[in-house]
Amino acid sequence: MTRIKADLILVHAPAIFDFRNRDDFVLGWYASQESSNVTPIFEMHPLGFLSIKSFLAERGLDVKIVNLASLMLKHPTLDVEKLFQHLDAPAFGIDLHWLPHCQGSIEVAGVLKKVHPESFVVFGGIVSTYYAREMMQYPQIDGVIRGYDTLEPLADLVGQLKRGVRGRLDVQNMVYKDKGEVVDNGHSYTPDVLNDVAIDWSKMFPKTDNLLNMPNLMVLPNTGCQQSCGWCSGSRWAYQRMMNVEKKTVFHRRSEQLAREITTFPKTESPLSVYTLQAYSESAPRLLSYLEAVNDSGVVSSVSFEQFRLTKPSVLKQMTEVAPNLDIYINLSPQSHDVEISRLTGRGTYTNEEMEDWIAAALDVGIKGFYLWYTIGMPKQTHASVMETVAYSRRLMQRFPNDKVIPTIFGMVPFLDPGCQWFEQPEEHGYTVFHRDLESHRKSLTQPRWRDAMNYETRWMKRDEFLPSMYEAMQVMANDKAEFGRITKRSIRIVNDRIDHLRHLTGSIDRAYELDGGLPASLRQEIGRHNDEILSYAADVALVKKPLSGRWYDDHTVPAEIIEACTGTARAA
Amino acid sequence: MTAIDLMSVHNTLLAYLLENSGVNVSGGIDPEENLLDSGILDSLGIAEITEYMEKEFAIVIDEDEITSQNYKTLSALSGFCHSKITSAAA
Repeated sequence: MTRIKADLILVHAPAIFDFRNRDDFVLGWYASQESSNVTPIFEMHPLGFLSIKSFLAERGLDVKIVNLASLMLKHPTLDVEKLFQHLDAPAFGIDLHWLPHCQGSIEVAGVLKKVHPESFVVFGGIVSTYYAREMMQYPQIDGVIRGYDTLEPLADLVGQLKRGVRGRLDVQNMVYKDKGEVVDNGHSYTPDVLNDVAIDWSKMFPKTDNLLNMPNLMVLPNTGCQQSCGWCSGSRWAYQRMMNVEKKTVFHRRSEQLAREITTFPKTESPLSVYTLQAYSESAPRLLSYLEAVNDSGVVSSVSFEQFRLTKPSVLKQMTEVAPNLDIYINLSPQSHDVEISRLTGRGTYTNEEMEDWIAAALDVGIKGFYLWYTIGMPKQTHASVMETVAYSRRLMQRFPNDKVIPTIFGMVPFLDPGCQWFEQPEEHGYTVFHRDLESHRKSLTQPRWRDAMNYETRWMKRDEFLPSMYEAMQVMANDKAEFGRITKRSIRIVNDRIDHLRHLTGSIDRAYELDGGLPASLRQEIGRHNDEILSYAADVALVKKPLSGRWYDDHTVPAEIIEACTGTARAA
Repeated sequence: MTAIDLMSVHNTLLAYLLENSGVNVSGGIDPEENLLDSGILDSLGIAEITEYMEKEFAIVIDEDEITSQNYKTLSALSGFCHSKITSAAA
C-alpha cells in the first residue's frame, strides 16, 4: 500500500464532518454571498500550516499537509478512514483556529485516533488556545499547544515524538494527557518575533493556463493587534487575556523573512494577486518597502490590504509611487454607517464625510479601489439601522458611480468569538451569550434550526431577527450593486434566486419544527438538493461554478493513486 | 441545432460584452483587442461569459478549454465558440 510518511502530518478538517449527503440541516444559511472563495465547509486551512512546514523543515523535520476538507469536496466518495490508513506519522496536527471548525475538527480527530491509536494528535489555533483545557475531555485529542506562534514548541514536540519519547513531554505552552492525567506545561513561549521563517510559495500553484484558476496568495506580516474591537478574539484586549502577554500585543515578522518570502512568489499564467493580512498594524515605512518588493517581484498584478484608519493621502501617494505596476485595493471596515455604532465596535474613528473625501483623494492618487465592510450584530444596531447602512451604501455608489468602491454587508453569524470582550463581558455591552463551552458549540453546528446554532443575540436584535435582517440587507445591497455595475445582471438573478430559496428553506424548517418537531421527508429531499448545489462550487461574488482546485490551500500532497484507492475508482489489476 | 455562422457568433458575443463588461466599452470592442489585459473580461466576466455561451449555444465548455488562448480576443473567443457549436452539431 502506498503510504504518505512524515514526521508530522497536518490535517485540515471540514467545518462539519461528515457534511456529505446531509439533509437534516441547511448548509450555507449564514454564508455571505460575496465574501470569499470557499464553500460553507471552509476548506481554506490556516496560513500557519505553511509556516509550520517551512519552519520544521529548517529543523530537519518533514511535515506534510493533507487538506481533507478540500479532498472531500473534490472527491465526494472519498473514504476518509481508508485515506487515513495511507498516512504514517508519529504526530498528527489539526487546526482549530476558527470556531466554525469545532465540530469537524473534533470528529476528524476521532477518525484519526481510531486508525492511528499510537500517534499523538495535537491541536493548535486561537480557539484551541482558548479551550485548551476543555479539549482534554475528548479521548481523541492528546494535546493542545497554545499561543499565537507555536513553531518552536511544535518542533520540540515532533522532535521528541520522533525520538520515541512518550509520557512526560518537555514542550512549552502544551496541555496534554499522560496516561489519562492532564498535564499543563504553562504558557511561557511568547516570542517577540512572529513566525521567524519564510513560506515557500514557489510550488503552490499547479501550472495551468485555465483562466478560472485565479491565483491569489496571502501574506501575514504580523499577528495580534493594537486595537480592542469588542467582537474580535485577535484584539489587544483578547490577546492580553488569552496569550499571556501584557503591553506588547502586536508581533511582527522580520522584514528579511518577508522579503525572502516575496522572492518565492511564482510566475503564474493568470494574474497573481496578493492579499496582505493585518496591514493596519504595519508602519508606513514597512508597508512601503513591502509594496515595493512585491512590485519588484514582477509576478504580481494586484495587492489588497486592510487599513484601520484613514491613511494620509500623502502616504497613499507614496504607495502608488513605489509600486507603479500594482493595482492597489484597500479594505476598510466601518462596520456601520452610524458613527456611534461604528465607534462602539472599536472601529470607525472617522465620519462618513471624512471617509468619502478620503476615498476621493485616494482614487486621485492612483489607488485602484476600495472594499468597505459592514457587519450585522453590533451594539445598538437595529434592523432599521442595518437597512440605513444599506441605503448609505447606495448613496456611496452614487457618489462614485464609475469607481471600484464596493460595499459588502454580512452577519456576524453564527458565532461571537470566544475570548473577545463581548463574549467575556456580554451584559456590559448588551449581549446575551447562549453557548459558552466548546461542546455546546460543537453540537450547535448541526442543529436543523439556524437560530439554535447562533451563540449570541443583542439587546437590539434577537436571534430570530438576524437571518431575515441579513437576507433583506444582502439582497437589497446586491441589487443596488447590480444597478451600479458592481455585479452583473446575470449574477443578480442568481443572488436573488439563492436568497429567496434560502429564505424559503429556513422558513420551512422553522415551521416544520413548530408544527411537528421534525423535518418531513419532502423537505429533507429539498435540503439535500440545496446542499449538493451549494457544495458543487466555490462561492464568491461571481456565483458561478469554478474549479474546486488550483487554490493555494487545496491539497498538494495526496497522489492520484491513493485517491483512486479511497474512492473506489481504482482499476482492477 | 441549426448551423450558425461565425459572424453571428461574433455579433452575439460582442453584444453580450457591450452589455455586461465591467469597464466602459461604449466606443466598441476591436476584434483583436486583448480582452484580458484591457479588463473587458475580468475573472468574474470569464466565468460568466462561459456560462452564457453554454446556455446560448447549447454547448459544453470543459474547464481545460477556458484558456488565455481561447479567450484573449473577441476574434479568438468567437472562433473557439463557433468550433464548439460546429462540433456539437456534427
